[in-house]
Amino acid sequence: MKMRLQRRRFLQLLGLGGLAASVPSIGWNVIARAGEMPAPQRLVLWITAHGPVPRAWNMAIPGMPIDRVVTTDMVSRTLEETPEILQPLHAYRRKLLCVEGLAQSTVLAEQATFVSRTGIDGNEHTLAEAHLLTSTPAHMLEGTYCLGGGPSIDHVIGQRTRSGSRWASRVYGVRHQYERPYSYSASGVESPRVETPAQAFADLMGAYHPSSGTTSRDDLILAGRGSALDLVSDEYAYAQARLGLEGRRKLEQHAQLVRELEMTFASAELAPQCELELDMSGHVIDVWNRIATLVLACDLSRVVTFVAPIIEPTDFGYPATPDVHGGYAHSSFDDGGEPLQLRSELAMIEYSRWYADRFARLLGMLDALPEGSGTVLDHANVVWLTELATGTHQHSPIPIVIGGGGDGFFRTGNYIRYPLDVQSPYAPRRPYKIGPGLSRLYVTLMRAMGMADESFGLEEFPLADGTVHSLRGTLAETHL
Amino acid sequence: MGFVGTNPLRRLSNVEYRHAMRDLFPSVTPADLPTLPDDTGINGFENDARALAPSDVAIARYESFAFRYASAATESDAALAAILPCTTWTTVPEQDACAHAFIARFGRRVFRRPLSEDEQSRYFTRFAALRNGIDFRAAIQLVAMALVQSPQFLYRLETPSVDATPPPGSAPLGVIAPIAIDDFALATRLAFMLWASTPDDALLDVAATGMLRDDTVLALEVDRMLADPRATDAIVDFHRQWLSFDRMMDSSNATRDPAVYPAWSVSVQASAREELDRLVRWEFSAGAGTVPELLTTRHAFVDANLAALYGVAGPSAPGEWAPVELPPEQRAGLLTRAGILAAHAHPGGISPPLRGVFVLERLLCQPHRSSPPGVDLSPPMPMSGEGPVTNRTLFERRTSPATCASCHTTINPAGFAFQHYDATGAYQSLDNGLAIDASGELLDIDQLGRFTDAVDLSERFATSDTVADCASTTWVRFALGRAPEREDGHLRRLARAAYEDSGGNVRAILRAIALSPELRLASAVQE
Repeated sequence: MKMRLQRRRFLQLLGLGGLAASVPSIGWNVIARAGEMPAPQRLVLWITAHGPVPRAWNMAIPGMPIDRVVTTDMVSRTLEETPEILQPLHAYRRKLLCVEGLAQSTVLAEQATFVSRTGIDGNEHTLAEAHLLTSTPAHMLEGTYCLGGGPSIDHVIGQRTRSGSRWASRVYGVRHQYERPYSYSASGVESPRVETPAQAFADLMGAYHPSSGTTSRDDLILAGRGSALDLVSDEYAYAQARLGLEGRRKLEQHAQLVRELEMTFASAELAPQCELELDMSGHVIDVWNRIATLVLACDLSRVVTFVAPIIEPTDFGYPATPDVHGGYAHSSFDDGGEPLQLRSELAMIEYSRWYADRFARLLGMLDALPEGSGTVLDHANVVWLTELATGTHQHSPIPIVIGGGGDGFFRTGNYIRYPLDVQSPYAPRRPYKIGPGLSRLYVTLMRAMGMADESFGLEEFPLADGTVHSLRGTLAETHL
Repeated sequence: MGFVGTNPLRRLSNVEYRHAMRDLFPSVTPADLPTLPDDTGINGFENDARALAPSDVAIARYESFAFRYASAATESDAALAAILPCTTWTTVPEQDACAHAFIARFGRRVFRRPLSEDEQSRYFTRFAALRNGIDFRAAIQLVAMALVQSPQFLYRLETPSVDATPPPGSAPLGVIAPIAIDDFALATRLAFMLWASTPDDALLDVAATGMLRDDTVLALEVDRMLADPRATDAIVDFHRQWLSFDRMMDSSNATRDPAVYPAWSVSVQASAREELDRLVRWEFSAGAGTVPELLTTRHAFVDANLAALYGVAGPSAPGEWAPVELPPEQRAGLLTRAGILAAHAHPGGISPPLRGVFVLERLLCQPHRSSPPGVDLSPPMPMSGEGPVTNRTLFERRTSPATCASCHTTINPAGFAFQHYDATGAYQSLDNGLAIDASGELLDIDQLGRFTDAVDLSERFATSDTVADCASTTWVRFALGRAPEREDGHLRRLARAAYEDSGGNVRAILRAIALSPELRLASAVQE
């Protein structure tokens, strides 16, 4: 079903023509036909639970030093030469960049300070979740697990690269362990999350207000909803009179959101590659991938965060067990903690391969949409990451896959391994050294999205030897 | 007395919003209402002002809610007749008069106070433009939509009383004296505390007289509200938040190890969750309405799933529920029900620390304690070659190191009390063929003495000062929409005394808070 919107003149009919003139374009007609305008950059964060088994993810690079950055080509590798977990992505290797060796440094820094403190949530898993997209010391509230201590990278990039899209960012999917979120709009404030594909699609449809081309009663009421919002946003100014600073801030924030919603009730052209229909077949993650593709193709948002549901063992061919977390993940890697069980290791490899296949399908959906001189995938940075480095709660090294490459910004077609050459500030068990901080990947992504920031979240922290470890700057080896 | 803490600006929580919309549009029940994004829970409570930030998702959903309700309420002349304070709207003068009356009457319900002349004028001007551009019915629909998206509805803006001046000497130097709020703001506080919904016309009418703040008049209204079914709904919802009922529906509780718990299913999970609501609703409508009875009653409601789980006779048809009395030596009140026991367990087995932490934090208001970094959180296993071992022995062994003992000397006894209940909440007499020891003592918490098991512990909690302190303080927190502050001491003592005098009657606690002088006061600035 293709939907076409036409500019309406309802507000003029109401004698509110001034208002009509002041309603700006909401960016839906920004997507270029070939050659007309540069395509926008997008960011997708595709988050799955439980880190992969390292030996099945890491690329074998024999003969190369481990004390410096090594880049190896992926394009020339056959399927058999590709690590098991990355094999489902082999068809897209030209548009992939894999990064090994990053660390959740801010988590380790915060863990190090707990040695001399008590009463603070030091759970490795919940801290990792709080830090994953915020890279800053966690926010503690009474009676609950720790929360993100600042706005998350998707929120920050979305707010600053929005450029007229309907939404600054979208968060889809579930919460992972302990029902903790990853995305935050501010310290301790979870970003709103859309839980079901059906609701997400309803939001998409709600963001478009098609006209039948006539001034039917339904059309007039549709436009009248925008008029109602205009009245509402004015009320917020009146209501602030007696409030203190914090109260006024809350109402002004609310009013701004009302004004943004009001603008969507003006009409606009749909982007050429935007078709508002949704296939609900297949696994729920397949449906979510279609939602993400629609959102990007229709330029409703340029930042999408998807937190993937945790699949059942039966999904990846293993017997039902209590749960993946306790039954397989914790015993899938030998790092001096819970004893390794071969069956768990093999199960978690299949678990990760299953998600790799779904990630590949998302890349395929985006790559099927022509845009400018390439495809939507070419103008996107589609990042697959996990909340922990391994199923055994390691915080390093975090494996990263970047699909698309941001219109040539990232050195796609390569596998980059960073050396573990910095003494970890907190290392109760192996490994004892870490590589660059994950937040530097976020700085790199900010650069890919056109932002000039030099840091994100915690900027530095002290090491045990008294030196200061910096988290500033991009990962220069990953991009042009 | 006479001091109040901060007064943060509170947006309606999702529960309050849904209830208020239901009560503002009583003649319609729209289908396909969208979901609202979750309110962040602080200490389990969704109405904490700190958590109620707006978002683009929420604003869009409010608009969708408003559209669905207002559309349904104006879809025909018959529907219109149910909401309009007029009988004819054929001519323009009739429509104008009708609209004026509608804006005034419906607007008062929505704003929870009368509209000012300026407000009335703004909404009428927009009505007239919409009526001229579309028609009367659409104009009413769209004006109603605007009203229920306004800040006066979505936020609890409080107006000072016209004669609000602080009594002389009511505050030490340097402290900003509290002021009296007007009767409409008081009506709003009462309605959301007692009903989790908007004031009704009767309450607004009393507020309009300016007499609501009078002790006698206030008491009459509070008693009327406490007798209303909406009060029972609100009390049930309070317990849902306080005691984490929704944890039962976490995805991790959808499965249990089928080799150990073959009877578990998502259907049993749903039944366990529903039983909690039914028990609390019974307690606060037909029962004594007290916290002690909630902790000790053997009365239960079971369906086929729970009848099998509890080992009692019950209904066999799907969806059918029946009251039963549970075996008194195996079960007591809420703490020994499947919806609590299974919610604080792992898919593969029970975890005494999980259950212990729940009891300590929620029922006893003990501070949150978390494991220090680097500890082994995997399920403890028997040593290689070791014979049968009980779950209790495994956890005692795992938590015996000095770094663990400082917390676990308190956590473990509270959790070990529940050793007789497996990860589905079913009763077990043996653990791995061995006798179960569920005894313990909660040191530094009252003088409860040594208990033998969870049934015994529940009976002791029923007379516990710590439970009484926690329950009454938690109600104060709920009423204020924030953590209690130093200035709330008098209010907390009032609530605590009400608990003591009434034997833990929740309506008595609510009555004490509702009639307190503090509820009629606010700090001078609403933040």
